[in-house]
Amino acid sequence: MWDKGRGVNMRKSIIVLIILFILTGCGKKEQKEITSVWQLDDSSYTIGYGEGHSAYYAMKEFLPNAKLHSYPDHITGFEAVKTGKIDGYAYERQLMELAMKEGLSGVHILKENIGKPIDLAVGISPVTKIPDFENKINTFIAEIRKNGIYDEMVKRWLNGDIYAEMPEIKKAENPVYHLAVGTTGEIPMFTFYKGTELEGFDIELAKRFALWLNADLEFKVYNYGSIIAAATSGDIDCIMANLNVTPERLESIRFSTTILSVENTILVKNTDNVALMSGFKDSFLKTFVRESRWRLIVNGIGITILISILSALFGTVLGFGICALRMSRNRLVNAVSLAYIRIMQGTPMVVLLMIMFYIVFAGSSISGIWVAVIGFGMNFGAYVSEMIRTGILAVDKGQMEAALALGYTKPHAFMKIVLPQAARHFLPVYQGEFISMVKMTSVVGYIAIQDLTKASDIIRSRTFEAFFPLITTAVIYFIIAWLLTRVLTMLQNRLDPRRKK
Amino acid sequence: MDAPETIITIRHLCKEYENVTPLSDVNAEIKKGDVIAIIGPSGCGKSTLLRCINLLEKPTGGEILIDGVAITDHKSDVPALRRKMGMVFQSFNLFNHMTVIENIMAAPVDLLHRPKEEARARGMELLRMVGLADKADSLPEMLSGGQKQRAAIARTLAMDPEIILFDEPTSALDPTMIGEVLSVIRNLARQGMTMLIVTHEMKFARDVSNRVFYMDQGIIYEEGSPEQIFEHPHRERTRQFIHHLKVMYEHIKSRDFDFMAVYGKLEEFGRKQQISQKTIINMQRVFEELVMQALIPTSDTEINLTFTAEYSEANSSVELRFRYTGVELNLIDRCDQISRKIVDSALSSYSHSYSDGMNTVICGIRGGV
Repeated sequence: MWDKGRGVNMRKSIIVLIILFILTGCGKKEQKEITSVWQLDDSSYTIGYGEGHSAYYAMKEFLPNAKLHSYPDHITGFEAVKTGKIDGYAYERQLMELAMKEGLSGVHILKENIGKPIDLAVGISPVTKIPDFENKINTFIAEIRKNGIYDEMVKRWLNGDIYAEMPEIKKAENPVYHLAVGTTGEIPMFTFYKGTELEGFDIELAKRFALWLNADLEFKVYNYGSIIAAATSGDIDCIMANLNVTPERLESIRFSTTILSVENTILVKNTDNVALMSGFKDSFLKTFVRESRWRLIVNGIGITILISILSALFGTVLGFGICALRMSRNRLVNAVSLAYIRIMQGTPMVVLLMIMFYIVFAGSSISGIWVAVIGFGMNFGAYVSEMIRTGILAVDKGQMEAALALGYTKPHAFMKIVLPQAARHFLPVYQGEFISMVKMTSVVGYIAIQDLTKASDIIRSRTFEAFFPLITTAVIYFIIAWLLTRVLTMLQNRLDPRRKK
Repeated sequence: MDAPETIITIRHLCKEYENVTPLSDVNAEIKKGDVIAIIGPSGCGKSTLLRCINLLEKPTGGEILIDGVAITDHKSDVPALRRKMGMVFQSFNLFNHMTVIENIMAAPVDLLHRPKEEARARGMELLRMVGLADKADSLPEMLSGGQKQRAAIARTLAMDPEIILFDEPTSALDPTMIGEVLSVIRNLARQGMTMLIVTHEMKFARDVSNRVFYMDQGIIYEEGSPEQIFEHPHRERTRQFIHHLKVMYEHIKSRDFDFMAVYGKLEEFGRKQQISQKTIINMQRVFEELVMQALIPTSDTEINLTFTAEYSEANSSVELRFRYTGVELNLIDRCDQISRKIVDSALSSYSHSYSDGMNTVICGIRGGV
């Protein structure tokens, strides 16, 4: 026990050290002060941009010599500028200003814009079931522009004050449609979490549109990377998430008339050095306490554990089934099960998950959590079946024969004699696979599930601070893994007759 | 006294694999109280026979009746039939994840639905009987081979079987541990347990059994009382097996057979068995004089001779046997003077017999370095 405890502490400190190392960055070069956007048009500079964001096209056109580097979201991008990993990050000016106001420090915004202002619009799924959707949304936008509601909304959300009050908007009483709106929940002013509630310009727009359309409204929250796929697969009817109109996106979805125009500019690092943490207490309050953000974390933990345990159960049952096929004497059955195992082992989990969600279950009403359970279960099952098979093969054939000779039926003998002995062989491996699956569940954000990782992303999008949410997430994953390991170890000890005594 | 009832009837039992046929046609009746030792060379199907009786191997032909019920019929309740038959394996096969007493209790509790306490009490009684009461709570891995096998026997007895099949119960044991297992089996025999014992322990087989099956060539080649099989086996192969004989065999059909080849074979056989060179030369001389000088010149073209050289390791002696058809013909009488001298110097014993048109000459070969 003493040894184990020390191991735990060592692992913790190593994790903390590694994250500190990453956050502070290493091998920083001496930097000239950057004062103008045009100064960056040089191959010695690297500029970050958000995946699919319009700033990419602006830079291609106006800063053709700069090296570009894509980031999954602007929060990560801002952090990369702050720690000197990139020289600048191209994004919307308004959002940068808000981040600065919210406490982003060590960086400043350049004066010039790159390119012309770009359009924001509602992205329309090409396969939406709501008839004449494009026409309807355009009519709606025209109407609110005319009756002043639009101006009210702009004033409420886009004046740089994130703490605006969300007005009460009625729900449709006898809805004729179901409207699924995809959003990210990670862009202040437009779509963000206050506590556990979605708010912002896009959210208000969606609610008003649903009422106008006489539809019941459902929000689905995606990562930036998967939201377009969600629309093309028909998982949602439209995207309302500060969506830039870009040529690439026009190829796969349609857009409404323009709602807003925004300007892109570049965020660069200050030349004076910055402290990594700006006040422990302040950060802690911002990350957990304000707007009861800890609730997001707690909900996320619940989802992570739920998916992990259900996937493990499903995967284990499936594993037994595949193992039975794999050990069958029928060559065809054998080959099919082997093929299944190889395919599962050779497919990255994220890809499998996206295939399940956006292709296999596209358009079905099954909840994302179940899709995740099926996806992870299928993957886990492949590994489990191989483990069990190895375990069973490690049990001497004589054990089964002795049981049969005593008069046990084959299934009874398997359960009573072979399986407990096989389990002693495969449980240690099983434990390892299970823990790695728990950690793999952190990708479920791709299919609109708010697990622990997604909760921490959402919080980061509000606080513009990486340190606290990331460390907390790491520690929580570690604790979950450790607890689940304990449970499995207890089970393992119960199966080991030497320890039982 | 009534004749004891028949427990197992085996009719034309056959087991074929793709390349080998361990059992071609086995017929037997096993009566209550029988202790049958099954002996025979390795690979002759002894174990296969036992494993077919409780259907661990599926016979490919014939039938097995247990208490009149054909278990080979696919409608039969195999697990229920197996409960009446215990089996003790060469490699013990105790359940490794259970203690000794759990091993013994498991089947009575699970299959006969005996109360746990009753099963435990009975288990302890059996363990006392095999001398392992103090090991009840040990795991199999803590036991010696002999102890494991005794525990396995106790496990089998816990099901109150009508018959126990022993599949080479001592073959995996150190010589020092064989005795303890055999004495447990002897005890069971004394108590009247019906048993089929496949074994290589000849002395034990002889002591413990009331019937002996000698198996060879996929059948029960010879069956009889222990005295008969061990003292006066009727058939050649049985005799060779019982006396641990190493045998060289040659069938000669023509006067013009390859004489030198047989000569060479004898030489090779002798070397392999590490027979002295002198003895080998004597074998060759006797063969040459009796076959080439005595038999062949007196026969017409037709010749039908079976020649065997047998080497007994036990008393390192060599015997040559000549069996040939035709009229009565004592070879040694046909030898001329020189031949007779040579033969006499090489022989330690000689006998000739004739019956039903078959001559048999048995020669003991003089040894020496």
